[in-house]
Amino acid sequence: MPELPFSVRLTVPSEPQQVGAPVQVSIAVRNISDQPLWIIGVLEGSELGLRYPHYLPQITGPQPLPAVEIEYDMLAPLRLQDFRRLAAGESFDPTAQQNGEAYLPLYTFTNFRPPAPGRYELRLTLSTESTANEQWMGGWELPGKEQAQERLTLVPRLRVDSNVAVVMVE
Amino acid sequence: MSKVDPTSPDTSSISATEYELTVDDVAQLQATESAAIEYDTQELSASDASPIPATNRIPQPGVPQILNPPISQPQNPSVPPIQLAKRAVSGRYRSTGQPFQLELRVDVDGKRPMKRVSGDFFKLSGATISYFGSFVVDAPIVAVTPSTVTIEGTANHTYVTGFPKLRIKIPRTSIIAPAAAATVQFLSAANVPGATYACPFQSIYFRTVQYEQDRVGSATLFTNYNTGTFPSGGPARDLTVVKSYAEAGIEFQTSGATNVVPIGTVGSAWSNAELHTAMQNHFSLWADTPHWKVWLFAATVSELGSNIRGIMFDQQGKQRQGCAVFHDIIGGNAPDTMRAALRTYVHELGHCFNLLHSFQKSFAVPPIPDRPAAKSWMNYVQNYPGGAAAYWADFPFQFDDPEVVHLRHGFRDNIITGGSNFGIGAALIDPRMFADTLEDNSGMKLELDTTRHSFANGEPVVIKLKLTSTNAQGKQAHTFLHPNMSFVQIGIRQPSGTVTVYEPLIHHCVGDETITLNADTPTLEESAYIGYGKGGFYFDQVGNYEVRALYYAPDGSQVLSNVATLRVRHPVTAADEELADLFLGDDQGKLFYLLGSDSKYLQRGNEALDVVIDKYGKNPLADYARLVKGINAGREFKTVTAESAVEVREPQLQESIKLLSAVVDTDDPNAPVDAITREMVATRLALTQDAAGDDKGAKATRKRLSLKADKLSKAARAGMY
Repeated sequence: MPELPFSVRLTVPSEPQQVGAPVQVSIAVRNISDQPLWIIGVLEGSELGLRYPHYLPQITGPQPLPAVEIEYDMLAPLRLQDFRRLAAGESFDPTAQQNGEAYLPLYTFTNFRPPAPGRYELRLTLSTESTANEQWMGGWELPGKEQAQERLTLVPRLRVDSNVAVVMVE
Repeated sequence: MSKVDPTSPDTSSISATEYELTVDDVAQLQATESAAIEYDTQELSASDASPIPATNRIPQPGVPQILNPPISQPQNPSVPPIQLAKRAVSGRYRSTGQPFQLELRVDVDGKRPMKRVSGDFFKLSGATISYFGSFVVDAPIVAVTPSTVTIEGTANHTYVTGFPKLRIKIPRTSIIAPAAAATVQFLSAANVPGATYACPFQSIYFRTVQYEQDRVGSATLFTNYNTGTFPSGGPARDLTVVKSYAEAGIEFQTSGATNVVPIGTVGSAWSNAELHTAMQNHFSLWADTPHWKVWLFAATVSELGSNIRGIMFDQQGKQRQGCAVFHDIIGGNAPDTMRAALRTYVHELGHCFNLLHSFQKSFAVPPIPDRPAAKSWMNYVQNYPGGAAAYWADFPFQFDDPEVVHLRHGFRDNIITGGSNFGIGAALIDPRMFADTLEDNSGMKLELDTTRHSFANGEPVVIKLKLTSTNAQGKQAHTFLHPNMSFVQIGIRQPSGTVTVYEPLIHHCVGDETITLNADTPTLEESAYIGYGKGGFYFDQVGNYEVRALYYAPDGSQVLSNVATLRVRHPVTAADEELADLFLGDDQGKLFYLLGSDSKYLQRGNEALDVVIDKYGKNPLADYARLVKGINAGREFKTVTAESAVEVREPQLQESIKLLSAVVDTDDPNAPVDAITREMVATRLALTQDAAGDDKGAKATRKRLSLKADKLSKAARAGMY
């Protein structure tokens, strides 16, 4: 198994974008190991690092971006259906709900509307480093907590940075 | 029927003769009204009195409502009669007397009617009052005459009753006359009258909650916001937290003075534990018990992060009594800040009443569909389609309809602060288990059948599950179908109409072992005893039941089975009654679930099963007792004594062989023990015969059931059906 069994790739349009227009950002987390692995997508609080897994987006540009209005209160519990099993070489969009996962969009990206012309760099950091269950399990409990914790032990612990996706804005 | 049934005739709060409204009663009521007003609504045509669906006759929001428009037939053309509007009948009513009192909630007119009737029963005993149970009628039929509103329907209950139907009569009064009492008549399914309750009107609100706000010194409590300040999805009005809940039909009575909590003791950022301690120290109404009292604390900031605007932190003991809002984030006088503050206050208090986020309703136990596009206090602004700007543009500053139904009519323990844990019972009942899936592309078919369609009272209920791939390429499936393994949930609609979910006594944790269902292995089959679990006996009442299974596939699909029906028969003979008593004990239920035990704590259950075998050995039901006793006898049983010594009872092979042989040795296709279970028993018998050195017997057993040693059923290997 490689040192980092997952890669994170951001894809943005290659052509120049318009000021004030939304930018399509695609995210792919890929299992680059030679065996199946468990991973979890973007959960409530992941984007702000309030709970694991962390999915921390970052956008830098010619001028500061307006703050995105994101609020959380009771972070949803981690459930068995929030786990995704990736075969070797398989990838998934950690923000896309397919089979009952509670995955959420990354609002930093979905709200990104470049305020001025120039070069913008987008990054995403995935972290599963914490070994403390309470930093994963959310703010309240449901039946099935023990099973989720058991499966959590199968998630590789790592921190991986995405490529730098560049958006040119006219 | 339970001996304790507040709807049975002997528990009426008034005599049977009092509930019928005669013409004299009506005349008297009208005379009373006439004394208060000179004229009232004219008589209406007979067609106005015909039963009609509530949806067709319920007026739109706004109090008071005119249920029937006046007819323009003035008695004196020169003096048009004064048409006084009728008072809305919706609201809360409460009976008096003993041994039961009924709190009734009628919700068929007035503001935002939800077309429901619900109620809670309270049992009075000496000087104590205890909550007994709740009911709700989801689709009442409302009939309106000039003088009376009659509401009829069949209720879902939290308790067992032989009187599931009810008829409510409420005399109509004008808006300046006092509200009349409601008379509630409970009825059996065959319309045999049960108990009757006279319930005087109590409030236009469906629930009343004591509300206390405390704050840290630096926080200024939110007061009000005019919803017309910015464009929104609702009418402009001045809203406070109290008014917001009043619009949902929930009365907040502000109680006590606002305490200022000294912040020096905890630092600036608050943990949930500190918030809970603050609640216990400063919430003057706090108690570790269910009650209609809620606390909101305006703190500084959460230790969880600066994006936390508020939190329902109370998840210890009797939960949901307190929440916090964080004024370092939501404080301020800017209009958009005040708008957000109002939403945060109402939202966090919503959690205290067991409301989940709009986009996480499927987290509820039992689950209901998510509503990510809900224009509700309980949605996240960023999760709304179109984002925060779209949310605020569309938001009418209210709960959505299912949330209002939950607040007004949810079973009491699922709403009341200090009741069910957060997320449990956060939906009224499980509407999904008996509602068809809108679209099923799972590639699987789940079939459920009961081993019999008619069961004797007390007879163990066993179901058969069969999972088949309908996908030509095959489908991955969990290896285990048994409901003990958490991948299958069983819903049971009881004769009373109550929907309950079978909960095994013990959840078995299994790995993610899967198999591929394809041409080689087209189906997976399992049988399971579901007669007894955490909820006690699930089929202990005589009547018709519906059973449905829900399978959670590895790919997340939720596959619903067909609905199977079964009937539990009335005991006919004295022997039937005694057998039912011998089977329907908690110890016996546990013994069936565990397939036997030597535990001294289940001794009475074992003794009852011994009586079944000794006294009713020829009765087919005795095979169930032999099955349990025989399987247990065939295995060793370890007991840890009070002195921490381990005592081992060795397998009683011959006893086991004798009992199990009697279960297996039948060719009767209608034998009570089903074929899958008999196969499991035969496998056990063969293994026991092996252990006893009875090779000939073991061979005969395997031959008899065409079993091979390497085809031991998966269920037997797992140690259960």
